[in-house]
Amino acid sequence: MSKLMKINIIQVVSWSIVAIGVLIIFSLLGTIEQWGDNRIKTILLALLFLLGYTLDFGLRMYEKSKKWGFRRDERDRVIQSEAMSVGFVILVLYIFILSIFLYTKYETDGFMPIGWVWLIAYSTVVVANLSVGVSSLLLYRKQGY
Amino acid sequence: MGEQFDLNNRLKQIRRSRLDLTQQDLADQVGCTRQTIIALEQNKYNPSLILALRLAKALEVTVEDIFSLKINE
Repeated sequence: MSKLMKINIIQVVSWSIVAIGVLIIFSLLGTIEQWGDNRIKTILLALLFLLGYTLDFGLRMYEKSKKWGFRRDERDRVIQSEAMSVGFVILVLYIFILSIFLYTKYETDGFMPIGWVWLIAYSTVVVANLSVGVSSLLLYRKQGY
Repeated sequence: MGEQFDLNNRLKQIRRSRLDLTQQDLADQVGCTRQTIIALEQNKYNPSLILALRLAKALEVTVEDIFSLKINE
């Protein structure tokens, strides 16, 4: 297995942990409805994102370090670009479906709890990172990594 | 309906004809990763024009010796 594949796997695993954390926090009773009183949950979410981005940053540094002899060539760039395109489509579909779901759920009320906006904000970042990471893994596998 | 093309290559045969040339050696000569050479030899990746030219130069053959178009109708 190449170093690039290992980096991708670590990235997907780290963002999956963040995704699970975000899901657990937002599915707890009262998180959405009483968002303003959720100081601890907000800090937990920030810590989860810190974990995801710190690992991302560490991996980028590892990639750039000449010590490890890491090389990214034209095929890697093609795969990365395709993964970004797939990730973009998944993200658009996700936001569209979630928005429609919220619209139908709160159509009669005329307003919705502000916590949903936070869910959209956090989950958009998670879905974007995960969809690009997973697409890139699948594309590498398809090409015989 | 227009014609569709597949890019075939004889990279593996040509590289193997150079007895001491490994995939890693070839990758180092043309400036790509060994995984890219593997993907090329398995016909899973179409190289850029620059990489195709560099491969031809490294193997001392023409691009047409390595790559050919197969028409799918």
